[in-house]
Amino acid sequence: MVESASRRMVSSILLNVAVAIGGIIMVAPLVWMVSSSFKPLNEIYAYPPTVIPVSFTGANYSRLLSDWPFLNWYGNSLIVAVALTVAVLFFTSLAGFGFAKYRFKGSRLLFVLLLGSTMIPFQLILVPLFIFMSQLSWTNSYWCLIIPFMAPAVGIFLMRQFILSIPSELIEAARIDGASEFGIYWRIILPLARPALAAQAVLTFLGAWNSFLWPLSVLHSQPAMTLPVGMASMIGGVTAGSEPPIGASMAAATLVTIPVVIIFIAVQKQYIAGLTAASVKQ
Amino acid sequence: MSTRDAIGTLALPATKRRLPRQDKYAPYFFISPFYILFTIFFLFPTLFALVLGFLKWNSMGTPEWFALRNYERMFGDAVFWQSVGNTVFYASGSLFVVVPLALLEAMALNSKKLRFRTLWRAIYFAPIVTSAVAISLVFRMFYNREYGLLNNFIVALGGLPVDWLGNQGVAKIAVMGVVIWRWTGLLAVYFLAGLQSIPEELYEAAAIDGASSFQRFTNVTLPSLRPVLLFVSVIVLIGSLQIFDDPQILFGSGTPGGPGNAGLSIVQYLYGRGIGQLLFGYASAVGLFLFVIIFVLSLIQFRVFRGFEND
Amino acid sequence: MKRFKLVALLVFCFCLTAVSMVQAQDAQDVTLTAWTHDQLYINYFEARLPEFQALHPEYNITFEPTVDSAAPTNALNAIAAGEPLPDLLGIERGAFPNFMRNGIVADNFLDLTDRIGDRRSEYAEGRWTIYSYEGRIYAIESSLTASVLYYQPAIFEAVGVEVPTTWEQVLNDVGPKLAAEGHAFTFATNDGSWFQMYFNQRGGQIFNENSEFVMGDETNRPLAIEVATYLQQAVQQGIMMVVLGGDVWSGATIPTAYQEGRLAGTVMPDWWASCCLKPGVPDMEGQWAAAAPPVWEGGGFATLNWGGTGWAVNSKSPNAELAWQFLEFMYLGKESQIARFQQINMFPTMFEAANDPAVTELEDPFFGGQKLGEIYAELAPDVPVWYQSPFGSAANTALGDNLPGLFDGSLTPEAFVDNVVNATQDAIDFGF
Repeated sequence: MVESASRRMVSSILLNVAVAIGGIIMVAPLVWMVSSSFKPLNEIYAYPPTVIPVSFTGANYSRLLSDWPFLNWYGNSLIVAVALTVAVLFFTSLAGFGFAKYRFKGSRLLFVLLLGSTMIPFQLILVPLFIFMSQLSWTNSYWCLIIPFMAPAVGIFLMRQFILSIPSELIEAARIDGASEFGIYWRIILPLARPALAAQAVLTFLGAWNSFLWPLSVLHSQPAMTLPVGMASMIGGVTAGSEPPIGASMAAATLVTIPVVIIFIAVQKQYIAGLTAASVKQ
Repeated sequence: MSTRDAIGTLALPATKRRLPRQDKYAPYFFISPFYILFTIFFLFPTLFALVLGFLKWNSMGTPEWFALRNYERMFGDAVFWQSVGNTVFYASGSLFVVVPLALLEAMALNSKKLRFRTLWRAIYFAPIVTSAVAISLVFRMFYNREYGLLNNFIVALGGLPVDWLGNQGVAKIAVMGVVIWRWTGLLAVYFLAGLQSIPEELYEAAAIDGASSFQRFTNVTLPSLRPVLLFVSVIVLIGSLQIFDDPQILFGSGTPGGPGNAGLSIVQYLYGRGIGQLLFGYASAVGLFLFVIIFVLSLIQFRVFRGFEND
Repeated sequence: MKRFKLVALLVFCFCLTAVSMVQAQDAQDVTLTAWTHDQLYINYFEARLPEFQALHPEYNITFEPTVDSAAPTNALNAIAAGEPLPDLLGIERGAFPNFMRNGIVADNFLDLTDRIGDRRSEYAEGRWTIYSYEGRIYAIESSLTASVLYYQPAIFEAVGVEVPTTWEQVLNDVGPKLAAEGHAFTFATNDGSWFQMYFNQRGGQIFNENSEFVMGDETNRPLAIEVATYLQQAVQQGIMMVVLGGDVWSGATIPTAYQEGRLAGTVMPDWWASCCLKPGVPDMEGQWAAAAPPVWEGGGFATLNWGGTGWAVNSKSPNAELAWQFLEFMYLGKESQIARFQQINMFPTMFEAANDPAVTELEDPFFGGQKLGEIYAELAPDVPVWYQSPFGSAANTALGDNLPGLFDGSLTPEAFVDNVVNATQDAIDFGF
């Protein structure tokens, strides 16, 4: 029985309304975050809530920048995210190439080892890694945020999967032309693997940008903190003589979240493709 | 060497004939940087963790052999069991609320009847990239007993304000609210990919056979989505067992576990004991406990997922 | 001859260099770092830094403070990671037990006992023991932490009640009358130290002077049950308003409650006025008054205390001596004790300063010109002593974990006390 035109219209309207309501609920926290960041405290508390601030103010932002080393946090997060992304791209694409296009003794065993390692949650090694970093005196620095995470097993799967699809003839042809193995990697594989590299880069960057548990454990001094840890340090504690940092924390949240969301919307398609590709393990 | 290669070789002039295959060692060079890092910063700590669980080692002290006493302490600690119960709650909530919601969301976003699809997709998926810390700060404000928006709405509708973050009964629900907001979009992405790979013909065939839309759902959509459903379920389960960021920020610095630890997750417990109180040996035991659970679940996923691939 | 001239020239240059080096050392650049959780202390230190600098012209002192709510924890992490500590560390009372473990405090901070010397008896003894480890003093207390009742006289008048003198009066008379009109007498919070405030005033102890755990023994357990019963009843009758841990220190919950009258008063230490009351409701100047806090009819001390911050000197810092002199200047001696009170309302621990007219005659406009110093001075001799133990955190955490259950009635007072005693005893048995 084919749906009648009127039934189709009704269900269509219902669907669109439901999605719209859901959409508003979804976007509400973000809208509230941005709008509160420009409001004075009493307007944040006021009810009924205003979406466009009545007494628009930039005071929260200036307070954020003066009372906390926010720019340090931003810089630290950027440096860590970029460095880690570059390193991960290099190590995983190189190793992924090795697994995809070469047959070598022990490759199966080593690969299974990687697979098995994905079943091990990070929290198992939180304490041992912390002890390790402390003894190297790498805590409270970029080293401990970058070096231990430059070899994520999950990253290899993505790269290997993609590189498998690169025609082997190209590689053979390059070999015949006298290219070194590393040259093949650098000049043939890398350029062709750009979509996978892009997906990997986005995932890695985001992971580092939003990472919380590990940086919280190893970063003690405020200027060394990354954004999530810094924002967490803004709440709580005795705020003698000054009003609670609610507006400033909204300003921080806005500066951390909105750039990422905007970029996301711009590269929506690629990011989602990367996500679904990364979910394929074998 | 394949036949094609051999023929190609023969076709070459003699001087350029097949260079010795130098790539015998190349793969080892390619994978070794990765594996060196992997061994030092992953394998070694993992083994270290196994040993640590049997030690009593508190930061400044010297480690001493503690055999199974860490586990004795753990299983005898009421707060530990609370964290397990809370985490099970989060996992159940994620599995039985977030997954169905995500499926509904994906179906709605996939529907041909939907207008402004790109806009809605952007909005529903945006939470994926947000920082848990930032969002939890916002929700902290929503949930505030005195001036939070949620209570304001409730009171405006004639109800009584709820102490979302202070009442032991509702604290976990408050955390679930954030979890739902943050994860539904991510799961919907996977469902959407799955939905889009279902061939149209299946639906058309079902429609011709006279199936109602509900029957089309149960007989075409669900079965086709089985692998995705399973994959998503395990991801959600494992992810929710590791929940940390959201409750840690929601409940704030004073009582990060919530009132009377009503919202404390296992990882929060681990962090509090291991990094907060520097009880290295004990926290490693907790980590091992969590690892065993997650490992078993991952194995199950693997087996079942593989099983589906062979279908 | 030439060679002689050359040598003479070299010697002359050498002398010049030596002299200039000595002169350069005349104003040696020194940076003193300090970590604390409370901005107030920094305000005080920075305000008096010029005076201290003037006393030490041989140094060019830069003061570099860091205010972080987790300052003591950060310090512990730094010690564990082998990172350097600041020259001065403000250790909150509740955090001090963690420094007592494994002798951390003795390994990293100066033993101040001999440096304080005979001056010890000029100060409240309880404020020395609270930062002592194995009989040696490692930090200097910032405040007497004696509590008073801060209250809004207008509300009391409107309801028709007098300021109560005993807790029993609060529970049976004043409290219910206030609660009937929607006013709470004070607040309750799920912080173990808050419970201990009342418990210690009643005469109970969690640890004794040998750091042994005694809360479960025949003397202390009944007291603990009595206090827990009282607090449960007070909360359930609306006499004490429940405020979550974090919200007590930051957030608008309490200030809003003050302004709307839902919270008519607060029984809290001296530093509450400067950290949270005045900054929270600056517009309510003149609408507040202070009085001696209620006492327990069953016996105990005249006042309650909570918290306090002990300042310790990093023994491994190259600036340790100067840092000690800085601390000594800022915190010891009548002049500094009085200045500290005047600037940040941290009451003197030194008896002479406590009774000095500069303190007792100080009129506070926030309290309608009332002389708060007088009230504190009267209470000073009868301030409870808190004994610390390395397992102090375990006890504190156990209390905090079980207080919500006590407040909402899901735990009986007996169950509450037993849970706390068992959890703490477990921690002691296992060593953590």
